[in-house]
Formats: sequence, structure tokens, C-alpha cells
Amino acid sequence: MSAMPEPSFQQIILTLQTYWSGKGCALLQPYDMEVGAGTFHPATALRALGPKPWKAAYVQPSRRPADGRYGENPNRLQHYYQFQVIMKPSPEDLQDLYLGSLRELGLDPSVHDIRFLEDDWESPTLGAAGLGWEVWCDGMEISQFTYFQQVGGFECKPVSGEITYGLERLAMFLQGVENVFDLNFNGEMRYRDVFLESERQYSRWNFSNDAEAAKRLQQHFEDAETECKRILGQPDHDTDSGHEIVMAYPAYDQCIKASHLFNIMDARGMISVSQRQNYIQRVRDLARLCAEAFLKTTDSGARD
Amino acid sequence: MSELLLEFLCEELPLWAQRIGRRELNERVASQLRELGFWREQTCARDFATPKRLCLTVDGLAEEIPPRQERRRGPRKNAPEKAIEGFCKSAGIERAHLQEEGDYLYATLESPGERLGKAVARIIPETIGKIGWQKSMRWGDGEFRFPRPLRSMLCLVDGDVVNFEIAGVKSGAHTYGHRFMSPNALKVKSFADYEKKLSGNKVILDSQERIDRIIFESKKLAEKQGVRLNENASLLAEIAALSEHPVPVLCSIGEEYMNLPDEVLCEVIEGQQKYLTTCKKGSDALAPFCIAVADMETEDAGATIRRGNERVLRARLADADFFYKRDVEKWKQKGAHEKLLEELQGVTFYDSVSMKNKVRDIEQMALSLRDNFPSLAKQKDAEKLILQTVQFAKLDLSSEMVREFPKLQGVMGGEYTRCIDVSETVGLAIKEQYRPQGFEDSIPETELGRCISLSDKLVTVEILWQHESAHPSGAGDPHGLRRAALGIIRILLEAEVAFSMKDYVRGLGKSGLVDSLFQFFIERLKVYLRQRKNLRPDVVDAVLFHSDDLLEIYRRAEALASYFPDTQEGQAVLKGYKRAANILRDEGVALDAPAPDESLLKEQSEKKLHRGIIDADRGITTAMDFDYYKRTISYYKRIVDNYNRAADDYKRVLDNYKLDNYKRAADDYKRVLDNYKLDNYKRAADDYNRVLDNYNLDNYKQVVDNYKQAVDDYKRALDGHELNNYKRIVNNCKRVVDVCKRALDDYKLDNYKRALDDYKRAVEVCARLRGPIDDFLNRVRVNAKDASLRDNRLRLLRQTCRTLDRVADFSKISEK
Repeated sequence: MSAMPEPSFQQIILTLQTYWSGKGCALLQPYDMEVGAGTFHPATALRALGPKPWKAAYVQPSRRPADGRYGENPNRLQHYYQFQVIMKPSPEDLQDLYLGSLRELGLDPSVHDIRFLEDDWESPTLGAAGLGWEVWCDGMEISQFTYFQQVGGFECKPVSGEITYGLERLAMFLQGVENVFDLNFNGEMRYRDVFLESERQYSRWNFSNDAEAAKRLQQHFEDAETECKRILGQPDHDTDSGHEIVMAYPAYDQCIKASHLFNIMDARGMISVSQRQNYIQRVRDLARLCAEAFLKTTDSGARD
Repeated sequence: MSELLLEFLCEELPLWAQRIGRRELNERVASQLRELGFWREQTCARDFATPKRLCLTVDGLAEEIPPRQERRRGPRKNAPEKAIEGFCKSAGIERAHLQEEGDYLYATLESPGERLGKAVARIIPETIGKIGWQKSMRWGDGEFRFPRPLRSMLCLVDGDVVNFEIAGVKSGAHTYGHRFMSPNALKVKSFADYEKKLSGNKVILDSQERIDRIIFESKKLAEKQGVRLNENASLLAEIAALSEHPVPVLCSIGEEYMNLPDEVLCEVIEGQQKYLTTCKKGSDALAPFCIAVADMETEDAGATIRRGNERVLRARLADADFFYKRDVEKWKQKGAHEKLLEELQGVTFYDSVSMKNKVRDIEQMALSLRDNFPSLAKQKDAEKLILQTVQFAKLDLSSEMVREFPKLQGVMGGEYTRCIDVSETVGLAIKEQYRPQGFEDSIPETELGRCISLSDKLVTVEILWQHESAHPSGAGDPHGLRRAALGIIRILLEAEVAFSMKDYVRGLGKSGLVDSLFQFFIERLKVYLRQRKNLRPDVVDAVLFHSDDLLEIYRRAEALASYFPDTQEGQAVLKGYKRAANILRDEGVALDAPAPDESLLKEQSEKKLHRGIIDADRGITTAMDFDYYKRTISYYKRIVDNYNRAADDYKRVLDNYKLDNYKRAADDYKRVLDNYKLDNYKRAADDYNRVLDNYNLDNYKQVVDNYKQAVDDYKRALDGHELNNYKRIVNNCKRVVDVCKRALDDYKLDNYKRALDDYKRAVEVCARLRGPIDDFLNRVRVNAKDASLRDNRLRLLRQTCRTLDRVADFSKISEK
């Protein structure tokens, strides 16, 4: 076996974790649900709301069912990793902090061409929007950089700064690898040894459909929607414990569940163009309700 | 004389923010300084922008403005208390400090002198919040909105710091060099010093200088490879807005991808990667080299940067290649296009209208527009070509390529139709169907392409206009209706297509929508003519009553603008018209007041004006008897229709040529003769004679000859009752119809050009009235003591206005 290119995929994660932990971020673990991007982790989507300061960093496995290519495309995956940093309020030197992380990864800005290109971000299902850039290194997009302006339809005050590293892309760049499956994972295994088989299986599953399965997916979506609304319909006062407990987090779980089910239905071509808007609207309504509930909780800073 | 230097250092500003920022900063600060009195004759302001800074320098300002006293007249002494209070409030003065003089109250306002620095400290924080960004954001825990976070401010007046604070940032005397190559804080004394220090620290302040440098260096790189640089101006501006120190880097494109259509390559290379493309020398075909523009000079002379960029490009092109091949495979399958057409049923265009419905509408529209495109109309298989083009036009919407690169819709359709056995013309028209895409893009080159593009846009607007929520409002135009309207306008104007807008909007049915859509088109036309043809909206307004044909409106407005309102004659006539109109309004003279009585015209000047108007009226009549043109056209149409009908009748006669039917045939002939010959022949002959007299065109002679021959043939047919004769008659009739149609087409085109010249002549006639009008208004006292003279003079003025009104509605044009 030829020498593995450095740094390994997991070394990159370790480096980023060490770096951002040194900048005051709480190191969290991936959220234990299927999501399309690190932004959906409640540590970002909900914590970006309300006045309470917050700093966190974490890896988030992200799923994009429609991008499945059976492991045959060198650049596309239906499951990949994002490294997410969120800081509220956004510090003045956030760009410099970010560049510092690149240096830490061994990327020397003096021989590369690093630039910030306008790329405003919008998530129709989350009812969220922000202004920012995609960061290019020698023509390759290696990160997203966003100042959150709105989540669930609510203004973010203060504004959070969000940095998202596409870890596979970044690793391919750092290792000089042209096929994602060739990435050095940990010095002994390559990315294909870890993920190729699961890519093939999920690609098949993502696109495999029959009437029964379609009906079930639809039912799951509706169940999640109903449960989300049920949870949020409960009074703030909990008679069992005798405390005021707004259940924003459990409700939000149902919201991301609905969002992911929508993604699967979309990948399977179950949703027509006109229905699409309707589904997006329904998930956005859930996100708005969750955001509204979260804004009543201690974690948002409402009850300090 | 003082110098102001101002710099806002931000996180990376998008191009639009750089453009709006520098322009508005300049305009707003300059207008404040003017208002306050700091602006001198030699004062000069310059603005600059880079991805990280907005900069303004104003040189030659007054150091300070002296104290001033201003005396302002207020209401009368005995005015109601409320009015006096209001005046005090607006003047910012106490009631007790008002002075009386004569019948009026006066306020003396003291404005203290002010030093420039102090004024600047006040103006800048006010001004910066007023800039009209199309998008802005907050950051950290601040409330201030800007396109991207503001990080530092430099503000000097003659080298001294002007202190103020915006969004928690304090102004100072420092700027910073290039983010990576020279990130030092730089203390600045003046603009010259600023520019020098920046350039010494790897920042080129002037965007044009950055563009020039990119072009110069890129050309050198291209030259070395024996290829030619494509100077894509909008891309260059974009690239120059992405770097403070642009460094072009040559990259190669893998040969294996050069088989992709150039449009696809451009979409990836220019669109996605923002690299400049190159061409083979002496050809428009892309060469396998492109130029990435970095914002860095590196020790390895860009080798790492080149490697990285080439790798990204390879991955992107591999993706595109994959999609392209998949699509081609699909289109090559038997029956592919029927299947794809069926798929359009499932694609929503808007609301309940599917793309397939839209295609059907476009077919109808395109067929109805065929005759507006003369050379297309003459083509034998025009109908087949149109139907084929429209049916294939939208098939690419379900291709992988278009899903990945939406901008390539149409282009891919055109490419893929090569897989289907249709003519090259169809593929070309499909490629062109979305053009023009904006001001910079040209309209389709083929008539078929123009016809399809126009039809597509007209149908788009027609469908969307039925939904109030799809209408554009303010800055929002979610469905691109303004762009579609601009495309329609440009095709009509540039391809010289005659088109009745009223007939088109009538298709909407509901009167509210019909009116609003017509107004929408007129508004877009005005915007287009103002921006691109330098024609003022009020001049366009003045000719609207003549026509609902946008081309005609444009031509007339252009003719009118050659005198009004900017030439001396134009200004004078306009002024006279307005004065006359005011007098007539004040005196309540009816629009249809009788013409003046010649015997009552006493003074030389009024006689002269009267003569002038009579001449002008005659001139205008000969120059622009629009009704006459329109009548002639409708006569021609009727003639053609009649011939068509006659031909049909003859055919029927031929079918019935059996002996039994002879009698009926004879009756038919009689009817034909009765219906068409006697009446129409006379009328048509009159028309022809008039046309012949007027234009003396060969075509018309031929029409008449043919007609005469046809009539002779009828006669003979009646006499002979021979079958051969009938056939000849029918053939003759057909020929006559063809000739008539051709004559009509030629006549339409000719007529357009003629009508334009005629209108110009009419405008000239108006302009020539300058002397008589001036003379009359300067020398003749309208308000004569003798009531009959006075009345007669008012009538003369009314007549003058009436005459001018025939050419344009001058009341709509504002004086300078």
C-alpha cells in the first residue's frame, strides 16, 4: 500500500476540535438524529435564538438522500460529515479565528489563494436566513461562513456567526486526493473501507420505492407533524413536576424528523413541484412553532 | 482648501455592495457638503471600492463656512395664530423674536459658522445609515445594518482625524494592507499618502486599474500559449471585485472535456469557477486554457494555486460530462421526444398551468405571429418549423444538465435536438429561445428564434399576469416579468416587428388586467427607452395617443425628440404652446372653439401665425395621414380576402362542373361577378390607382394587370363555359392572391419606413412654427380691449394648439 496522504480524516477532526475548544467552544457530539446539515443540530438551529451567549463546535453526519450515487461518483455522497462552529454573539475577529484554524490544519495562506465569495444562505424548511460567504481555497469551496439573521422566522438578536467545514472536501484538498473514497481515514483505513458499502446500500434504499413504502413515509411525516404540534400544544405548566417546562427540544426533534422524511420523499420523486411548496411550508411552520417555544426557555436566555 | 479622506474597512463586500456603496457615499456626502456651503467650484470628489473597502476623497473643499444671517418672510401680521406658530416652528425661532415690517412678520435666522471637520463628524454617521443597500445585515450584538460587518474606519480632514463612531467602531488615522501579503496597520496623512501606502502594501485601490492589470497579465499568459483571451466585461468586473491584488494564473483544461459544448464549458469555467476563458486564434471556439485570478503572489509563483484550481476544474467538468453523456443517451432512444413531451405534463409552469399547457399556448402564439416575420412567413414549411421548434423547445427542462445548470436551458435543448432528426434551423432556434437575457445579451439571430422567443415571453407574461401575486412590485419581480417584457420590447424594436399591443393584452379578458398589463408594457418601454435610447419618458407620453405598436411609438418618440424639447426651436415652440395652453385654460376657451375669423386678424404677427398654422395643418396632413395609411392597408386586406373567397367559389364551381350543375355554376359566376366584380372592382381599382399614383410600385402595376387579366378570364369563362377556362381562372386567381399578399407585405414594411419619415416631417413642420408663435406671443396683446378681437385671438391660439396636438401631445412634455 502506498503511503497515506496526511493529515488523515480523523486527524483533521481532532485538530479542529482542539483548536475551537481552545477558543472557548463547548465540544458537542453529533446530534443523534438524521439531519441534512450541521445547522439542524439544536445547538445551532435553536441556540441561535434568544439573547443568551453560546459557543459550540461539533461534527455532524449529514444526509442528502438525493445525492446518493452508489459510491460511483468521486465527489458526491448521500452521507458526509460537516464540522460546525457556532458563536453567539459573532466575535469581531471571527474571520481571523477561522483563518487560524486553517493554519492549524497545515494550510499555509502564503502559498494558497483564500477568498470569501458572497453566498447568502437560506433554509426554506427552517425559515432561516443569513448573509455570508463560501470560502474558497485555490478555487475550491472548503467552508461556509454565515451571520445568522433569522431562524424559524424570528430575528436573531444577537447575531450568531456560523462556520461549516465540509470535512470530506477539506480533507480531499489537504491530502491532494481526487476521489473521496481514496481519503486516508486514520492512517490505516481509507474512506472506502469505512463508508463505501454503506453508501451503496443507502443509495439503493434512498431511491427504492413502492406504493406501500411511499404511504408509510407519508404517514411518518404526518405522525411527526402531529406529534410536534401536540407537544407544543401542552400548557407550559407541568402538573407532574410542578414546574414550568416548555418542551421545545422534544418538539424540535419531530420537526427535524419531518424535514428528513421530506428529503427522502423528495429523493424518491414522490413529490410534485406544486406539492413541494406545501411540504416545505409545513416543515417551516413546525420550525416556527419550535423557535417560538424555545424563546420561552432558559436556554434562549428568556428566564435568566 | 481642504481635503477629506474617508475609508470604511469591512469584511468582504460583494460586488453590488461595492458599487452601491461607493456611488451613494459620494453622492450623499457631496450633496450634504454642497448644501452646507463647503463645496467650491474646484471641489472634486472621487470614490473607490475594493472587496474590503469603500473609500471617498473630496479635494478642494472650504476649510470652514462663515456665520450667516438669513431673513425669512413669514405670514402677514394679522394671519391666524396657527399660521404664525407654524412659521416659528419651521424657522426654529420664538414668537417673541419675530420682527414686524410693513404687513409681514420676519424671522432673522443666524446660522453659525462651522469648520469642515466638525461638519464631517456630523454628516458621515447620518449619511452612512441612509445608503439604500439592496440587502443588509446585523452582526455581533449590534443593531446597525451594513452589507457586511464594518471593522475599521479612517477619516481625515487635512490629515487630522475626524472623530465619530458607527456600530461601535471609532474612526481613526489607520488603514490596513492586504489581508495575507501585508496585514499591517498603516498610519495615513492624506489621500496621496493613503494611495501610496496601500499600493506599497499590495492593495490596488482603483477597480479599473485592477481590471486593466488582469487583462494585461492574462493576455501575456494567453499569448504564451498561442491563444486569445476572452474579455468578458461583466466577469472581469466581478473578478476585480474579488481581489485587492489580482494575480492571473494560467490553468489547463483537460483535453478529454473539450468535447463538451462551449456553453457548458463556459458555464463551469466562467459561471461556477469565475475563470477567464481563452479562444483559439482566429476562431470563436474555446481553447483548452483558462485563467484563474488569485488574490495572492506566492513564493512558488502560483504553482500550488494552479494545481488546486486545475483539480477543482477537473472535478467540476467530470460532473458535467457525466450528466451530458447520460442526457444524450436518453435523447437518442427511440420515441424519446414523445416521452419527454409527455413528461412536461408533470412539470408545473405556474399554479395549475403545466409546462405542456404552456407549450400549447406558445404554439398558438407563434403561429399567429408568423406573418409579423416577413421572411419566415414566406418560407414554405414555416408552419412545420414553428410547430417542431415549440414542441422540442422545453424538453430539456427534465434533463440532468439543466437540473444542474439551470442557465443552460434552451442551450441544451438545442444541443440535444441534434440527436433527433430535425433541421439545424430548429436546433438553432431552440438555443436562442431565451434570448435576450438582459441588456448585454443580443436578441435571437434567426427569424424563427425571434418568433419563438417572442411567443414564449408573451405567453409567460399572459399566464402570470392573471395572478396578482405574480406581478412585480417595488424591487421584487419573483417571476422575472420585467425581464420578459424587456425581451419582448427589444425583439419588437430591434427586429422591427409590427405588433398591436392592444390586441395582445385584450387576450387577458378581464378589463382591469388588460389595462394594467398595457400600462406595464408602456412603463417598461419608457424605462428601456430612457436607459438605452436616451429618450425621456414625457416625450414618449406625448406620442402614445397615436399608436399601440411599440415600434411605432419608439420611432415617433425618437423623431419627436430630434426637436423636442432640447433644440432651440423645440424649446421655443414648447414654451409658446404652454403659454398658449395656460391662457386658454384661464380664459376657459373650449377645445373645439371655432377657427379664427380672418377678417378680424389685424396685426402683422397674428396674420403671420394664422398663415403659419394653415400651412402647418396642410403640411401635417400630407405628412402623416395615418388614417389614410391604415385605410389603404385594410383595403388591401379586403382585396386579398375577396380574392381568397373568389378562389374558393371557383373551386366549388370546378367541383360542380358536371352538366347538371352548369346552371348553378352560371349562377355562381353571376354571384361572383355581382359580389366581387362590380362593387369591389370599382373600389379596388380606385385604391389601386391611388396607390399607383402615390407609390408607383411595380408590384401594384402587376396586381392591376393580373386583376384585369382575371376579369377578362371571367368574361371568357362566362362565354366559353369551358373546363380549361375554369382551371385557368382558378390558377389566375391564386396568382393574383399571391401577388397581392406579397404586395401587402412589401407595402407594410415600406409603409413603416415611410410613416417614420413622414412623422419626422410633421415634427419639423411643428418646429418651424417657432417664429410665428414667438412673434405672436411677444407682440400681440391677446387681451385686447375690443371683445371681438380678443375672442378671435383666443380662437387663433386654440387653433395653434389644436394643430400642434395633431402631431404630439405637447402638454405631456415638461420644459427643461
